[in-house]
Amino acid sequence: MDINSPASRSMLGGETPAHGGPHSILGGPSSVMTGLNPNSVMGPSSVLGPGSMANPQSVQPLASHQMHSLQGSSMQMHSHVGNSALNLNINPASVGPGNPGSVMHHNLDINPPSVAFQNLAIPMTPMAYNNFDRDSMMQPPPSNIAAALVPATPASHMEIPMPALQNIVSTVNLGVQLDLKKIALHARNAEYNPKRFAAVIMRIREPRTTALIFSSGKMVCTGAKSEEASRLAARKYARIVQKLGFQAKFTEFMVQNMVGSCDVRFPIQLEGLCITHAQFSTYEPELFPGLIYRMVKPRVVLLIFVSGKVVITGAKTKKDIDDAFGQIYPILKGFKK
Amino acid sequence: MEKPNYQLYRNTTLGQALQKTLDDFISEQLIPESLSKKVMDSFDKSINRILPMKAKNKVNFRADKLRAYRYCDNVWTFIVEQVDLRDAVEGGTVARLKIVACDGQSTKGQLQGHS
Repeated sequence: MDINSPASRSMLGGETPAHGGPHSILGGPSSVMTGLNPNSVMGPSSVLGPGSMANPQSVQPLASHQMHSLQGSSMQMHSHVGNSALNLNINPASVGPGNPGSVMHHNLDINPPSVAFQNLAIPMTPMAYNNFDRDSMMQPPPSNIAAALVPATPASHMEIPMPALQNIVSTVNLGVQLDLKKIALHARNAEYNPKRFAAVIMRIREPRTTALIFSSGKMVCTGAKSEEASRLAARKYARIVQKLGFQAKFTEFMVQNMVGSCDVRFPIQLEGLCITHAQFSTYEPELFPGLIYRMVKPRVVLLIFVSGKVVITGAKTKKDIDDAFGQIYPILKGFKK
Repeated sequence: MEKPNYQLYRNTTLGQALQKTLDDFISEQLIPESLSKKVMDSFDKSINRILPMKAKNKVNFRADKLRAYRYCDNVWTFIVEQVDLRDAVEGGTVARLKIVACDGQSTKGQLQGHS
């Protein structure tokens, strides 16, 4: 956690690049948004007044100022400025018409902070291109067309592994105070040791899960392998509690965490990955043999091991896990040993 | 060092026989009920003290399945199925065995089984 706070600061700016990158590689929807950003750069200029468009330099100070105030990282700011200029040159024609630029302008005028935030998105694209360049050994293609071409590469290789869900943690509110001792004495497969832990620990076999039942009526269900199984298990626990004579309801079911894992089936050079993705990576082989990769969008943490095994955690939905893996896979391919 | 004097051994053959005898005495008005209580308390105390010292018999058992377990008030309860019980002289299989284990407060726990 100590790495967390300093990292998160610098990440704020940096994260966007990485996120945007893979996204645009995949041709995801966010790449369109990235394409929009030139507009947002134009936005501030339009706020400033006519003529500033012609003079990108006048735009940049504003943007950079916003960046600075937001994240306090001058490094990101620089890359942003460079990129915005880059995008300005390429995109307006291709992206502008395709997108509701007027809406963007509208937003910009009303809500400058949001502009700044969207400006943040700009650096992501170039970063992605850089990754892509390293991967493909091509000239930096600073246009959306190139980004559109990229998906062909991953798509053509159909043997891309898919992450499998390993654990789901969900919570439920039964909405009634519970007498834990009664539950422990009457339910099977229950443990209750209030000196150690103020909850009844109960297990069922199908779906094989464990629940922590608290006297407040709140319950945590862990161990399920799918969202549906987690829900079913939570329902079964609620039913058990109900049968013991409590007016238990099944409310506020929420998945709190999902863990997925995957094997990319090639060894990974973690040192290189750590250096090029320093903003996101923590790699201390003396403390932990895996590289900890804190992805920003989707907001998940990946544990990447030399063996090629990848664990994705911190996700709220299966899509987060799939998206995260879709982003990390091309990067990992670039660090094949 | 003082161990709790569990009453769970009253359920053994020895304990049940003693209880029955005392009940008979009470019904014949040979002893008052308070004395019966006293005797049983004394029985608890003695058997809790003697069992860990004197009982050297060992029983091995292996069950196919742990059907249910519970831990509450420092007592573990296990219900196991298809148990192969084996001691020095004989062995056999029972369909279901309930194991109650209390905290012996020293290294040894106390066990009791019913089939």
